[in-house]
This record gives sequence, structure tokens and C-alpha cells, in this order.
Amino acid sequence: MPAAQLELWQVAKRFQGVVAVDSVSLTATAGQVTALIGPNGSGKTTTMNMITGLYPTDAGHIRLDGVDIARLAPHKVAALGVARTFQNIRLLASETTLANVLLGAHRHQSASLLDVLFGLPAVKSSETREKARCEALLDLVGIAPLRDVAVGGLSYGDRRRVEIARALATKPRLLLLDEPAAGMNFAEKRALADLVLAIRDMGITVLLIEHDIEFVARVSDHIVVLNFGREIAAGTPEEVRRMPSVIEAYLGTEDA
Amino acid sequence: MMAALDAFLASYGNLVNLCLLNTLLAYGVWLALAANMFTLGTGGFMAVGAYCSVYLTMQLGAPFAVAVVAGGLLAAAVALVIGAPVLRLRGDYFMLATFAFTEVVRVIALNWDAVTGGAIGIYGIPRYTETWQLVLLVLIALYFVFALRRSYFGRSIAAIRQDDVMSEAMGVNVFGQRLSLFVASGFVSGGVGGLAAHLNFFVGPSDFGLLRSVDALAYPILGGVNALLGPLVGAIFTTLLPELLRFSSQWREILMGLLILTVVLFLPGGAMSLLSWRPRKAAARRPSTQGAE
Ligand SMILES: Nc1ncnc2c1ncn2[C@@H]1O[C@H](COP(=O)(O)OP(=O)(O)OP(=O)(O)O)[C@@H](O)[C@H]1O
Ligand SMILES: [Mg+2]
Repeated sequence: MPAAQLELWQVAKRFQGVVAVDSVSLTATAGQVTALIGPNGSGKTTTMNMITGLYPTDAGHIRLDGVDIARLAPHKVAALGVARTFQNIRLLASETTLANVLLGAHRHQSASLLDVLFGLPAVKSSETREKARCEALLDLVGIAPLRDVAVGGLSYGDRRRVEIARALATKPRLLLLDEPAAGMNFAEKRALADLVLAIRDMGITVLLIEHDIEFVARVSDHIVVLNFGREIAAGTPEEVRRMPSVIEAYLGTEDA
Repeated sequence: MMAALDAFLASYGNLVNLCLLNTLLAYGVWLALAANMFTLGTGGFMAVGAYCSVYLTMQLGAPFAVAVVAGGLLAAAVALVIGAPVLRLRGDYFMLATFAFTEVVRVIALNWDAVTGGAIGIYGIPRYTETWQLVLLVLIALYFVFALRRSYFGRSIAAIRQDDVMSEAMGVNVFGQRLSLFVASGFVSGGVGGLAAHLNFFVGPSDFGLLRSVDALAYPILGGVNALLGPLVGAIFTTLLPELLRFSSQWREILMGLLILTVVLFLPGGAMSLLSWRPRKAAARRPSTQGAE
């Protein structure tokens, strides 16, 4: 499965008069890490929700390897190889880490409902295969010892990693991360940066929303800056850092 | 031993049958409730199954088993037809729409004299339903629910119940799974309607109204949706309690209402969650892996 290329062209979204995304065009190049940055309320999460089909677009195109996915239901977008994490962590708090990650493996289970109801061997082999795959992912993101712990009791950083493992369990070609470093300490952020690069090297395109500029600069090949629902700049980390409009709109507000 | 059982059934047979029938119904409703569908369509599906099966046995002379399955299938088909639009509604509106369906079925039953006997109902239905059949069906239902719950379908259903938006984003076809469960719930309810009709000699339009739907919804809620035996416990408890205390029917309804309110407010996991009350898992306090790096 080759990495997927994502292209947004003049995508827009309004909520009862509030313009959340005015017009966003961007490309997440296949096999690269693209960062989507911008001040609070600039429309980053809304853009991600449109890509994953949670919100219908009001205008524009969203293309995955040239195919328009803007009208697809979220589970169909997921089936095309798009996975995501959530800014406001959405895990099943009472379930274990492994059970949460196994939900991501749902669409790769091969046993049918009849297999399940009549206890046929296909159920067990499919379940064993997916469990092994998910355990390897827990290992990859560095939470293997927490396999049987209910996620409700985990630290912020660990829960974010459970979300990443769950997204990886869907076998994505494009991974969308919404503020994965939020709430993490310095050491955790370093480990997360390595993880993002490892994911990219596995042949998965990454689109990353993040406020921590150091983190973004470390992992991104390309940065797109949003403000008031429009992209105001794009380029490599070095280029974007030097753009006056960016400093004014984004970095300026934080440093001031 | 057998004699003792016979004697027991002779005095309490009706109550035993009622408990078994309601348990079956509770698992039918659980199928919907497990994916957060608070259906009030149960009465309507039971009526469809009951009238269909009675028509088949009494008018067409069909074998009992065929009639019950056909009643279930017709109810499932109806569930499929109304499910597609109704499942797009959220929460309260879904309840309202399924309640409206039950009402529509009741009004049709009141007026379609040729099939339903109108307001008078149908008398003299042969008693084909037997206790052993109900026991067998409850065991089958238990096994199917057990197998479903521990499979990856069970996992996705539990995920839908807790966060359908997230489940959908993870690749679960939420609408498809909800519709399948709603149809399966309709099938079981319709089958139970047929079994009930051939147990009671009589069916009338008031047998399968709102009250029946609310009772059926209460069984798994009172017993607990998260536990395999929750629906069974809820159904048996709710069936036996008024008998044991010999309440008048008005008091029964008041008591049921209070009971549901109490459980929903103070014991959201149902009665079965009382069994799993234990100190918070020590594991939850285990240090995170962050120090390991
Ligand atoms: N479901 C919604 N209904 C109404 N308004 C919304 C909705 N979702 C987002 N908005 C509005 O759209 C705008 C953009 O929100 P969005 O969540 O996309 O911002 P963001 O860039 O992700 O911000 P943050 O950095 O704080 O996460 C905000 O003004 C927000 O209030
Ligand atoms: Mg956001």
C-alpha cells in the first residue's frame, strides 16, 4: 500500500453564519509530514473533520489520490486508508488499551457474523491475527506494558499514544494527527517526534495539527499556516518561520 | 424429581412461561439497546409477529414453528423498512418515532377486523407454546448474545454505544450495524409476539401498546446492558416482583416508573453492576511508560 496524496481545493465550511473554514487549499504530499498550524479557532480541526467525512463540505474538493472523498461517509473514508486521532481524546475510558486499539482493527477482521454466531474457527484465527498486530503497534508507540490497563487511568501522553496506535491499527495510508503533543512533557514530545518520523518512514503520509512550533519544525517536511479559515502561508519550516505574515498572525500573538 | 417439577409447573407454570417469554423479549430489546437505540417499537413488532403467526396457524393451518418464524421475519421486514428513515433520527426523536410506529400498528389492529378481529381481538388460539420450547429459545438467545458480545462485533457495538462518531471514524459502519441490530431486534420481538399469542388463547390490540414497549425496554435497563445476564435478571425480576407483592396494576406501573428512575439515576449499569462492585483496579494507578524513555 503506497502512501496516499491528499489535496484540498478551496474547501469551505460554515456553521449557522460562523465561517469556520473560509477557503483552504493545501496538499499533503505522499510520504511526507505536512503540518497545519494556526491560531486557536483558525479552522484546523474543522478542516480535519471535513477530510474524514465527519462534516460535509460547503464547497471545494477533497481528493485522495485524485478521487473526491468529500461526499463519503466517515467509515468509507476510513476504508480508503484515512485514519485520525482526536484533539479531545476520544477513547473508551472503561476499556483496556488493547481493546481500544482493537477497535481500529475492526475493518480488517475477516470473520463473518455467521462465523461468530456459530463459533467457527475463522473467528479465532482472525482475532489472534489482529491481536498480534495491535500488540506490535502498542510496542511501536511505546505503551506495551499498559496493554491490559483501562485507558481511563492513563496519563494524557499515554492516552494520546493509544489514539495513535488505534489509528495505525486501521492500516492507514494517510494519518491525521490533531494536536498529538498537547499535554505531553518534554521527554514525551521528543519520543513522539521520533514516532511521527517512524510512521512517515513506514510509508504513511502524515497531516499534523500542532501548536508547538519546535515540534512542528522538527518533524515537518512542509508547513501550511491557517488564519481565519484561510491558508496565509506555506513552505518548508525555515521558509515559514521567516515570513512576516506568519510571525504577525501566529507567532506574534503567542510571543506578545 | 419429575413429579416435583410437574407439581411446580402445575401451580406456577404460567409465571414460569411469562418469565421465559419476557427474558426472550429482553434479549431482543438488548440487541437495539446495546447500540444505544432506545426503541419503543417492541410492542408494534410483537403485534406484527403475533397477528401474522395466528393468521398462519388458524386460517392457513401452517405448522406452529413455521408460523412463529414467519411472524418474526415479517416483523424484521417491517423493521428494515422503518429502520432506514428512523435510524437517522437522534435520541428523543428516535424514541418518538418508534413509539409512533407502535401506535400505528395498534390502530391498524383495531380496524383490520378480517385479520386481527378488530377491537374484540382473536379468541380460542390453540395453545402450542410449551415451556421446554421457551427454555430452549432462551438458551439459544443467551448463547448468541454471548458469542456476539465477545466477538469483534460486540466490541464495535459497545464502541457505538459509547461514541458513535469516533466509531464511524475508525471505520465502523455505524448505520449498517445499527440497522442490522434493529432488524434482529424486530425479528426476536415478532417471534416473541407469536409465542405469546399461542400461549394465551387470546390476542387483542391492547396487548402490544406503549406499556408493553416500555416494560420491554425496562428489562435490560434494570438488569444491566453491559452484563450478559442483565436482560434475564431484569426480565425475571420485573415479572416476579408484582406477583410476589400482589400489587394492583396501577401500583405496578407507579412502582415500575420509580424503579426505572432509580436505576437510571443511581445505578446506570443496572442491577448486574452491583455484582462487579470492587475497589478500583490497582492497574489504573500503575505508573505510565513515560519514565522509560
Ligand atoms: N460544530 C461546530 N459548530 C459551530 N461552530 C463550530 C463547530 N466546530 C467549529 N466551530 C467554530 O469554527 C471555528 C474553527 O474551529 P476549529 O475547531 O476548526 O479551530 P482550530 O483551528 O482547530 O482551533 P484550536 O487550535 O483551538 O483547536 C471556531 O470559531 C469554532 O468555534
Ligand atoms: Mg482544533
